[in-house]
Amino acid sequence: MIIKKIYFIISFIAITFCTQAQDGYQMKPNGNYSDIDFLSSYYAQDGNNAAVTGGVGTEELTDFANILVVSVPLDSTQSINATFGLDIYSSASTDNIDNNRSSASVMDARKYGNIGYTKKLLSKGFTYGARVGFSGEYDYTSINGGINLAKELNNGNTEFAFSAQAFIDSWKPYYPSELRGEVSVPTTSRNSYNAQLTYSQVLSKRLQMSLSVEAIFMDGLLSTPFHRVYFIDQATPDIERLPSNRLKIPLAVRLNYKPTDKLVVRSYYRFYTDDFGIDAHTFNLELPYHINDNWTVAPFYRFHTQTGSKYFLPYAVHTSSEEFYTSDYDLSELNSTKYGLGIAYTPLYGLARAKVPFTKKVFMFNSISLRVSRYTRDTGLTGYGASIGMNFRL
Amino acid sequence: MKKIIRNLLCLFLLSYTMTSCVSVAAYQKMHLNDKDMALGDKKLESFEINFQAYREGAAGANGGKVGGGCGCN
Repeated sequence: MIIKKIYFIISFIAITFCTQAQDGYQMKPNGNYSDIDFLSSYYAQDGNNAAVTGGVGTEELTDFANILVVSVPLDSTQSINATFGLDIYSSASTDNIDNNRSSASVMDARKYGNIGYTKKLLSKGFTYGARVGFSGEYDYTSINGGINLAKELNNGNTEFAFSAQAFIDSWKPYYPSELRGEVSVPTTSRNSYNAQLTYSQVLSKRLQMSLSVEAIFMDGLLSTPFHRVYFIDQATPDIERLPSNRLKIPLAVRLNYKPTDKLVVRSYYRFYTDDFGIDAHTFNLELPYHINDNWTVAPFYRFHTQTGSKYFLPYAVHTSSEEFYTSDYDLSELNSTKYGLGIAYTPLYGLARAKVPFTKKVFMFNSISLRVSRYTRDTGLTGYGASIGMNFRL
Repeated sequence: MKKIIRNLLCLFLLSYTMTSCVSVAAYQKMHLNDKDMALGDKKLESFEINFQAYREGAAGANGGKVGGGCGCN
């Protein structure tokens, strides 16, 4: 019965698509310049509930992240996008995998990259594309691929977009030093598959919204091999044990409104549920204000609340007879808040520009953005982030 | 789960049928084309979305990271 209803709804939408008047509308072609974004961020956090030490102990961590994003139009309908990233992080909790502090795990790097191709069918309002990518850490590698489709309707006032991705990941398990030779994991693979459908709609000259639903399915080793769990009924800890699959369903609504020529109200709400027992609500509000043609300031606030996973209990509360257990506070009941400020400087003709020798092209330092944030979790974790973004055009 | 999917499809359908008559011409989209009106996260937010995905059990539906990288630190 439900399947019949779904078929009916999909058929109705399909029929409605076909009857939408386009009035000779043609979607916007690619610009004739390449965009290059260099983004860099520093993040630091501290708390006292590290999963590596069973839900107690330092969560001190710093992360210096850098991303280069290049978008190159091949012509008015085709483009190539590439992203390269390098995160350098130090983690006091990861260092506690071994009892010998300042071992090799105190600092590590994550390298990642992906490349994608996008094609627009301008007269049909249709866009499609595909991408592949990789990431690597000292104990973790991942390859991924995905597709994306989008259809504009109603003279560009409506869009349906679909994307799907698969991440094929592999662990090189490291166990807590005192448990090596005593414990093992059933598999070293972790795969994630996700599909997202987004509906975007212009509601007036100053208001637009989007609805998104995503399904994320994970299978394989979903626990972390060096997370310890301590028990109430035995002295020896074990490593974290979690089910081998997990289904996550987030639903999100965005509503952006420009009540005056200078102010934009950006709002976002997400409901999330999964079969680990976590239900969550997330609300985000950002208020970009255009001081003048060049400068924009954007204060923002985010609130998140979630129920705890049914597999979570704090330090030394689990019993050893349970099948699954974790003391990772990321999966606990928690409320978190984040607030901060963004500043963007976007002069009409860029911050600097120079002619590229032997060509007619101009290289322009187009804009610069800064963003600082403070993140607090009511479990006691506090984090600070600062990031800078520079956009260049060629 | 089926109930959620069914309700969501109904919501999509309702939103679509209610708003498909709205047609703002390209020359009237000055405010909608404001970069801050984009219906997506800003590029600089990607770092924060990443650490939030690690520090909270919930993630997704914002174009952010949903796989790749253990997030175990």
